[in-house]
Amino acid sequence: MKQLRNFLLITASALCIFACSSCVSGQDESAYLDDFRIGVIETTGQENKTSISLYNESLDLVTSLDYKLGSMGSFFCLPQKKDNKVYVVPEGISTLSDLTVVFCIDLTKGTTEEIDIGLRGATAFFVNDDYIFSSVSWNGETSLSRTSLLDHKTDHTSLDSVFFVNQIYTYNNRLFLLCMTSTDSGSLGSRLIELDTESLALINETDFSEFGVSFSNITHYKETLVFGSVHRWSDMLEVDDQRLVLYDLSTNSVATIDLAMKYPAQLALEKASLYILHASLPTQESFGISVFNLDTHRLVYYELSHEAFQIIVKDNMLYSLGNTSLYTYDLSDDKLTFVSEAYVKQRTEKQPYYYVSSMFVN
Amino acid sequence: MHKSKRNTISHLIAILVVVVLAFSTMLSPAYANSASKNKETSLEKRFAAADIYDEGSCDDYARAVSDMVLSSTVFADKSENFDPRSDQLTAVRGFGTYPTRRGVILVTDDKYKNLFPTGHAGIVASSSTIIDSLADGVKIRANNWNTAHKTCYGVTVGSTTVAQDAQAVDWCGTKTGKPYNYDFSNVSTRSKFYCSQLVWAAFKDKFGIDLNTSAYGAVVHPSELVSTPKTGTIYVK
Repeated sequence: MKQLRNFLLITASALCIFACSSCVSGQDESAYLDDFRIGVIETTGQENKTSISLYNESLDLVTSLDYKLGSMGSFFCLPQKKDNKVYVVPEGISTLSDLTVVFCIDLTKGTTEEIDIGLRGATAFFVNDDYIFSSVSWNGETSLSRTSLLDHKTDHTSLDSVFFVNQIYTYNNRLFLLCMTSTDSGSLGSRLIELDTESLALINETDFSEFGVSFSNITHYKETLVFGSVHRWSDMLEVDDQRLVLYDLSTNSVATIDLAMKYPAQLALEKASLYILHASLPTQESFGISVFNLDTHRLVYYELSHEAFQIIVKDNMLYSLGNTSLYTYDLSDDKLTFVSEAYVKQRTEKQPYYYVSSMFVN
Repeated sequence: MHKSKRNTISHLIAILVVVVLAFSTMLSPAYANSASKNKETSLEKRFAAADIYDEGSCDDYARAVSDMVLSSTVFADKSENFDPRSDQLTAVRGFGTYPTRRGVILVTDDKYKNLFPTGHAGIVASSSTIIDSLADGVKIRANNWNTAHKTCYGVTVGSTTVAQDAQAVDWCGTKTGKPYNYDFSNVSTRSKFYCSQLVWAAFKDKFGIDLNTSAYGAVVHPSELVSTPKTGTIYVK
């Protein structure tokens, strides 16, 4: 009997150790609490693998952390930072696109978690104080999910006659969906759908086709939504656009600003200064950065000598990421002054193929 | 030791072994992968498809197509007014520009873990989106193959207009909701599709253009959309 008891105790202990070691990622995620400034995500669509490399302000590599999630992040669907947490969508293996989670890094605790949003391979998402809103188009149906940050409960709804959701944004208890539409005759258009963030009831729906069919991310300044029009529809063709769209929520009026360069693909706002990255994300061409003052409407364009497909502005610094390198600029004195550059493509193995997908700033 | 106690211990050991085996299986990557697969993925279907697509022959074919493309002409994409009755695709130097025009076909040779080693095919739906057929159905997603794939070809059908290429995309869009076709040689069905079959069927049904070659018989391997003389390569990554 004593032998049996000892045997059972040893086996139970072995099981517990095995379970614990399997649950722990085996890497020190407290690195997120260290003095790092930028996280660069390298991922692959061939396997469920991602590597996140952390760099300090001097662009020195601090550490790299690996995760079993594929196709994490994208220049088309950027990571979001909210309340010292970073959220990013992993689609999974590219030809399956079956992951239903948003990956979350808690920068105050140095922990990570996967939040189930109930949508496979979300292609657009937005995080506000209370929810993660996400969307995907499968089998002719475009779905919208809302996942509570408190209890992770998810609600779903379907968006009729929407080909694809370009961008999601919330402001003042209103959920804004910038959607691409497609008619039977093959014409593309766009629609801005406004829903109540709590009830998901429809507030308003506006045909936005004259303002473009594919757009940058959305931001807001005072009572105005701001986004860039990257392409517009003209004579049955999709053509380049170079307009900034300003949607005044108090008057429901729309104004456009002609920019100095085409493809305003991404916006970053700091105070009244809007930084606009001009880049063609599909063709991987980049051109420059416009700085537009939303109070004075002063516009200055800076041509870039390197590629850039994502920008983040924080504390008077601009961080820009290309396919292999990271560049920083000082924004003091209302200028864009180059500071430093670092090669950030750490994963160079031939199989699987890793690519730099996006970054986040601490 | 008393016989009944011995039996009890034996039973307990057997139970523990079963629990350990079950636990280790649940935590294995293979289980995690299979847990997320489409419900239709049966072993019988996967074996049938695997008979057609063995890794060795797929690697050889992908290499042959790559060699062919690199030693052949890359063309400029069609102009807006391209008329196949009188115009021909124009040769360019270099590797072309990544496609954003509706109806351009995208093909990659990249291989995916635990999946058939055939690469993948899709079709450009707009400058920023593509349509492709995956295990769970037809999805619309970002036109990011230039970034997300190691290999990528953009090809356009030589005998169609720009408007007709757009119609091919619209045709693909009407086939959403169909299940995945694991019977790769059954390309005549229109009730289910695999990735390259969807693209092939669009041009076949709309315009009577057969983009298949004899490389895999009736099966439409993604790379055949590149190697067929009926398409011109307009981009090579």
